[in-house]
Amino acid sequence: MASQNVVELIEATKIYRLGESALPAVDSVSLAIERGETLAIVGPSGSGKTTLLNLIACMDKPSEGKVMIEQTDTSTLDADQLAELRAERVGMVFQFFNLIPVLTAVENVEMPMVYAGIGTREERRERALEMLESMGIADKAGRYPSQLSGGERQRVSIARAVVNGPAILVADEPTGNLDSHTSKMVFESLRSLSQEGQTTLIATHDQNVVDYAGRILQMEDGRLS
Amino acid sequence: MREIATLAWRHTSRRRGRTVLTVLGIAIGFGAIIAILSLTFGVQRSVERTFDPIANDAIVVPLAQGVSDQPDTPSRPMGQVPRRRTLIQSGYIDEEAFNELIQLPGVESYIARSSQIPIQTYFRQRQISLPAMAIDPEAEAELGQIVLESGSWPGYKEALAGQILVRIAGIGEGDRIALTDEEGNTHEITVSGLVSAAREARFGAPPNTPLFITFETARIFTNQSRYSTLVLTASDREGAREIADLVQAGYPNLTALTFEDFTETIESTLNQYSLFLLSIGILAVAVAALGSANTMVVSTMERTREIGIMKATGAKSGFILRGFLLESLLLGLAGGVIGVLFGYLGSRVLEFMVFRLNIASIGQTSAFSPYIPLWLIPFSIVLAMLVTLISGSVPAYRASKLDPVEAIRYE
Repeated sequence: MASQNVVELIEATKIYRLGESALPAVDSVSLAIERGETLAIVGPSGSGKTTLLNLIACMDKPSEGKVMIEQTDTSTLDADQLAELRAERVGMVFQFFNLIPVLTAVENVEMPMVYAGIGTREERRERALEMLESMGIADKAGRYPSQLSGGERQRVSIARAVVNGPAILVADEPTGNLDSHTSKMVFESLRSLSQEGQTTLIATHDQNVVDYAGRILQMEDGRLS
Repeated sequence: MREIATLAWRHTSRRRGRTVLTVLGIAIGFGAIIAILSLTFGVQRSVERTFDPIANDAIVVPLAQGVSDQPDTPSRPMGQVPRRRTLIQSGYIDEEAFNELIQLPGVESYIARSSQIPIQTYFRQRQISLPAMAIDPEAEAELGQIVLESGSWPGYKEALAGQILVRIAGIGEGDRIALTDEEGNTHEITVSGLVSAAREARFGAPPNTPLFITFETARIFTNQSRYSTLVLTASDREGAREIADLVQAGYPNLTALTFEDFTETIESTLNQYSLFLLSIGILAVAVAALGSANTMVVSTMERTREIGIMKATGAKSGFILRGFLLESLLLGLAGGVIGVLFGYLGSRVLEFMVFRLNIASIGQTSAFSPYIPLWLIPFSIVLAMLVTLISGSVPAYRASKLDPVEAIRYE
């Protein structure tokens, strides 16, 4: 069954050093996420949710312990190998959308394929348009982020995160910066992806997301409870 | 690469004001250098063109009594024949030296010109006192050092009139002038042709020589065979140099000048002048490079979050690095191209400001135009790109090494 685990954390710890003192943002967390699972992480601000997501999204390496993405130990990888893993196996959705302002919606979605060296220019364009279509915003493909609403931006961000068919989609408060109506639309997009079998890990305060999640992880003081 | 180019282009065009100012800085720096170099190249070309007809010549002239050689340049190895002399023709080359000189090894042909022969001229009842110069029409015609504007080369009892005579006395082709010899006898001479004003002052023939006659005609007026100038022509420049060295070594009262003697003096003066101007230009380019580096530093700082996003979504360091380097190159390309344009306009302005350079060392005034050789255009553009590439490399490298977590948090 171990091979079914897309993500596995073994005593993963992330310590931030502030002068003389050491602050464990993530403290000896062990966790296994199976393929196709949808998990919600809840907890107060400063509990270490974002740090945990950063570790799972290969944006950071643990100070101690291991983070395995499809059996690859991220602590053994250098910066470029981590970037490669992020491009190919991890999709990240941020609270503040984090789109590149000088690129159009479709170009933003294309970028992870460019980083991963996937397909020709035409193939990438076709795939990116398909993703936008599945998010219901194909008509906004040529618009720049500044010309899109918050909900549209977040759906572009989700399309970008899943365009390379990642092993895991990591979303950090994806509806945290949206009104309730738009939150619902974004939530529907995420739910639809989960239903298609996309392994998803969402840090959220949104009750809709929490209710839908197959498993809920409670985080407090850097530990899962 | 296309995506990197798209990003670089959009970022540079998005911050138009800053981009324009940076590009202008680079353009001004390189424009200044191009304009300065165009002056140097213009003078060099003018000098080459002016002296090209004597490239294979050793011009033998007498050293003026009491006038010594100019000091040697410090770089000359000891024991070599000094080369720079003051060109003052108050002495003469006598018949004996003349006969020896024309038989020196390497001499393929020669032209002799006499000292100036003072003659009283009567033309249309006006008495004019003027110097004539004896020439060898055949040799002059062949080597093209005196150019005819009209008419034909003079024979016996014929003369070529210089432009000064045309202007002062209104002498024209076919006119007859009366010349008086040392004993007071009058001889009628026919003007067979006129000398072109532009080339009249060619080497060995002092500026504004009014009358050129044959040596045969000259003997009517003087018994002495005196030569003021002897142009010994070799097959190439090296041959001319060797002949000049032989003259210097064997004839203490004579000096021999070659192409290099004329051009070296002018070019070394010009090089010192250019070096000074060029140092100002280089300073301008250094300021431009700092401006470009500053733009790139600000640009990377402003886009720290964006760099974080790109890295978080899978961009490797190389992708970020190439993007910023390409932006630097774009700035350099634009600055270089506009710099060439500025350089061209600057050279036109300089042309008006210092159009005529007085080449005092040979007593002539030579008009020249600033000249931008074709190779200087791509060279300047590539150099501008190189300068911005280097100045942008440190901020680009730093950007590429940013930690994605830290970068994405940057506000």
